[in-house]
Amino acid sequence: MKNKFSRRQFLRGAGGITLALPFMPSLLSKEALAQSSGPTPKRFLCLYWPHGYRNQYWGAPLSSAASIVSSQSQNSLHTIKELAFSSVSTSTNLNPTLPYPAFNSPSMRSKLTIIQGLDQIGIGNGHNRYGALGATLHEPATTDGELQSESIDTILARSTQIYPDFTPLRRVMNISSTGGSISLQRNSSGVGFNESPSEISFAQVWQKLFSGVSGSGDSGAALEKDKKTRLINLVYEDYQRKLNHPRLSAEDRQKLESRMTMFDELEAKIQGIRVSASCTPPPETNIGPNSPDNYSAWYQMSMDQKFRFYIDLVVAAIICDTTRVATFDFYGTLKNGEDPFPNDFHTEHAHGHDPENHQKMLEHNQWAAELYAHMITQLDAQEEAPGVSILDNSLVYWANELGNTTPANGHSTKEMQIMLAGSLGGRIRTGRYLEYRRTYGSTVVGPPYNHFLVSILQAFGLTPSEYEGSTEEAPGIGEYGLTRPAGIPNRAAYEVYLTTAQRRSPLPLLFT
Amino acid sequence: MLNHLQNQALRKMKGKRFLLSLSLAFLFACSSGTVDINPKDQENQETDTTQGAAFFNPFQCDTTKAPPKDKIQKLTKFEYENTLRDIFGDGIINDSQIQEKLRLIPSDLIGGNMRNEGLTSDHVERVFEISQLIGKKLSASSTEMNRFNGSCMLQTTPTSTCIRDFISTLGLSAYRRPLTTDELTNYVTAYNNLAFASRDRAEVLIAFILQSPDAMYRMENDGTENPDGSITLSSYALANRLSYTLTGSMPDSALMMKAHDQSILKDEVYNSEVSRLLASDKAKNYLVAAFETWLKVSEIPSFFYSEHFLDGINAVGLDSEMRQDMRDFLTHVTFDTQGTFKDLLTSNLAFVKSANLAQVYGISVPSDPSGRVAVEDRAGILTKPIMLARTGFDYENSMKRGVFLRQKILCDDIPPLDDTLLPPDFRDAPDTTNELRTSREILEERTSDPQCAGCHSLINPLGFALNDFDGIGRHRAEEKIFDSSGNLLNSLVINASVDLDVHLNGFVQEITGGKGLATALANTSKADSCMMQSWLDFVEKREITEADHCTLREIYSSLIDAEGNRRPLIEMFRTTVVSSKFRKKFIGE
Repeated sequence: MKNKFSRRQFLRGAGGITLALPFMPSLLSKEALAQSSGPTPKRFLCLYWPHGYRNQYWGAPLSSAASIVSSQSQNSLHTIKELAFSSVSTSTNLNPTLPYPAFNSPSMRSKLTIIQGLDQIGIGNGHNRYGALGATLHEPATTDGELQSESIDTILARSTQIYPDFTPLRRVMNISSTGGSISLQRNSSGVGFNESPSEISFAQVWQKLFSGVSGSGDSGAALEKDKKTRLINLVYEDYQRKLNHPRLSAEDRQKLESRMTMFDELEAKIQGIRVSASCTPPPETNIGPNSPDNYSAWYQMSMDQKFRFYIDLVVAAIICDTTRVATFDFYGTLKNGEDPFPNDFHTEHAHGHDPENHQKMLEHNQWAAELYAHMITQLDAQEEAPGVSILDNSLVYWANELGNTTPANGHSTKEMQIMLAGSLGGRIRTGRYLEYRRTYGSTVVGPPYNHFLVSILQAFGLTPSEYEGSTEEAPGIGEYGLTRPAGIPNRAAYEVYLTTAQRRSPLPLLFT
Repeated sequence: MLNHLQNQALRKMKGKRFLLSLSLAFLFACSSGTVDINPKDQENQETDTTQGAAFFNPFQCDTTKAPPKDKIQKLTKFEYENTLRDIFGDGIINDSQIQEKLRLIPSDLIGGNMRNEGLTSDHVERVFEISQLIGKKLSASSTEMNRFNGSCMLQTTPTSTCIRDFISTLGLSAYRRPLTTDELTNYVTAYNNLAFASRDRAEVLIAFILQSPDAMYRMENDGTENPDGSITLSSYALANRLSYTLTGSMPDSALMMKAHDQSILKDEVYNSEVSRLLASDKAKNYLVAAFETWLKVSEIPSFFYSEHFLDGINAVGLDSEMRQDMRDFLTHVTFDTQGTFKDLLTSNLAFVKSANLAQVYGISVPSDPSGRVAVEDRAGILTKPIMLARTGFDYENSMKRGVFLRQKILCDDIPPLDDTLLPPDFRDAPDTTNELRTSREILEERTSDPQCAGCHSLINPLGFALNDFDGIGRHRAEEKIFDSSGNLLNSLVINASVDLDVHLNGFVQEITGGKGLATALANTSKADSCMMQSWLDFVEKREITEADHCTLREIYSSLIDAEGNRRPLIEMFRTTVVSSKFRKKFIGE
């Protein structure tokens, strides 16, 4: 006997009323999904690293080989320096921070982009936890009147450009080595932002990326799946009935409806994840920092081992296609005494006044480069079409918390360093170094960082309506909170970038 | 191995004062020079500024305003596990798979406060998995099924009587009230539509019932509607609210019986049940957890002390021992001796069961098996090692201590940071290499700028008053200065004397040390009031507003009389559940 009124039937009939649009694609039948080859998968990964850098260790070996695009050709907004990596000898490192073979192979160089010269303009100088992915103000950035926005990983994770025709096991995986998050999402009231959930424990990361991905073909699997499907439908119908209870307030109903929307994601998992043919889920792990995790194993791992383990889990998930968006917040390298550098790295090296500490800063960023190489080489080794690797269809973003700390010897958020790998299926014009700066009076400035974030979203195919906010209180990517009390430091220098046309434009020369 | 690795990590540490720079970064630009003081506080203080506004009820009850609306409450992680344990017993719930899934349910602590908002898909998925696992475990054993009149459900074709009996029995536990006829019919229909073998049908049915809205939420919707729109709770709804408020779990069988025969609606029976529950271990454990949430005891990070600073103390497991000391102390004062809030602030009792913790206290391990001992230098919760070791580093960080005391113990707001008004280098690290200056002197210099004084006048005195305790909570007269290799460079006499303005009303008193601070707070009711707010926040699991002041006013009056005499803390819990509002539900629009 069958239920007279299945949840799926209900959703088809009333989903437009009770469910938000992002969940609708999952309502396609399994048959439809199977028949749909779908567009080329796009992925976004971000490795976030703290403390900034010193300019002498990051800039490209600009020489006569570099071409300079005149300012006139760019409407007086930029003086762009461009250097094709193909003109740099493979026996020469692209810069001192990248002394690894992975960055010197012609093939990999052709997939890299280094961007230099952008400024975080919403703040003076200060730690900048959320700036890499969206908000342009320093931590804790939770005060009324300060500008925040959703982070681009949050926006991408709900976009049909990333998940065009299915609900993944995990829309976005935020990993943090210390807790907290570099990502923000809109809170339930719709006018403020909360940190997005993140995970520190390997056990939790595994659960979120691979729970239920077994590929089991035993005879009991079909029965288990059938029971779960029936159960989720029954529970959903039960909640639907409860909504009619006369003694529920509107807020009570909203709570129940909120829970009901989550059944959809759960059902997607039950129906089976769209696991790619090359998927091999890593063994389940119970390692983590807190009891009853296997914390003994956790504390036996070096910070480097932990970071690589996080990366390996996410790379496996990307290959399995259980998620397409992930961020790594490796901020913990400054505070918990486990990293390869002295525990007071922040004080003594990152912002220390002694020149001998500059070498430590270099080594610190070289460590990030190694981790970045570890990630992109694995993604590049996975071919998903003839001659096309997963990396080719991805955008892997190495972000830094701060910019060039040389002049301020501290917390500059100007001249931010950015590295990209992958071309998003040919959208990004890779294999080059691009530097954007502009002389304004006695100062030199660069385009607002938001132009880069807008560029990323546009590269994925998003339109302004998908990432811009509608109010001053809840701005989106590409906006600057022009009426916030403190305003923008040195605003006049950036005025030319703030027109609607400019803030909706991608960085010149970045796209093909 | 763990010990070795931790020691290795500790050896790598040097110059522990780096936290100073981080903390300074957070607070330096809190620079307006003005602070937000609760207007009500100020108004009341004006009546008694010469005495420091010692005791007054700050909660003004405006009976013309609508009371706060009651919402349905998702069971917290704690409540959910306890409820499952009460229904199915340890034999089922201690199953390793179920325990693993329970562990993975997200915490309800948000910003240090208990909240039941913020439902995530992780929560929904883990509950789904746990319900299924319980269904499997239960349906695999006719003995377990029989506890719910359900062994007959495992027959090939259960009778309709069997099905109804089982659903009614399990439903009574899961819903914490009898099922309605409609609810029973729905379950029977759902069961009959399941095209599986009987064991699988039972498994799905159990998992279904356990995930129903009435099982997962505290609905408390049943009762009689009053002319003002409120609902006087039914016997079952009242029993549920009482039990979850005092024990964090469902009503026990005795309470369910009194709900069933409705005797719980009689005052004398209700009051008797309140007393019975308050005397139970379940209530003690839960209510002590309320204090721990207020004091953020569970949020102390891992310890990373250097070996030279530890001076022979083994820090592995020490945080757990410190937490247990605090827990034993809270239980002893609040329940075993029916103490007052003043006792919480001033009692010098400690509960020391290990040599490591004894070293922190500077005593020998007591012979009493409970570890109870009076320690001369101590005064209540503020001088407990777990509170003083809050940062987990050598450096005691007076700023963090001060911020905690001002915000959590006194419930004062500290204005937010605005670094655009501050010097460009305010985030940069101070020079901490000078062995001739104490950490207090360094912090005083760093915060001497007038731009910084607005906030730091609120923070620093409270933190400096605890200067007679080092970063792990040892009492001290001197601050030891080490170089990065652990060599002792100097020992400097500490200064724990401050001019303290508790109420921020201009009444300044000179106090010295942690004991002096505890005495000063015990001589006013400001910390009492803050504790009461935190308790109600814990109960309601939402931010407390002025609409709650009528309840708070009642609680205050139950704990402190007009002459400033305190009554036992346990009266706070009793008053909360015997108030007239507690028996009613006010539903929002």
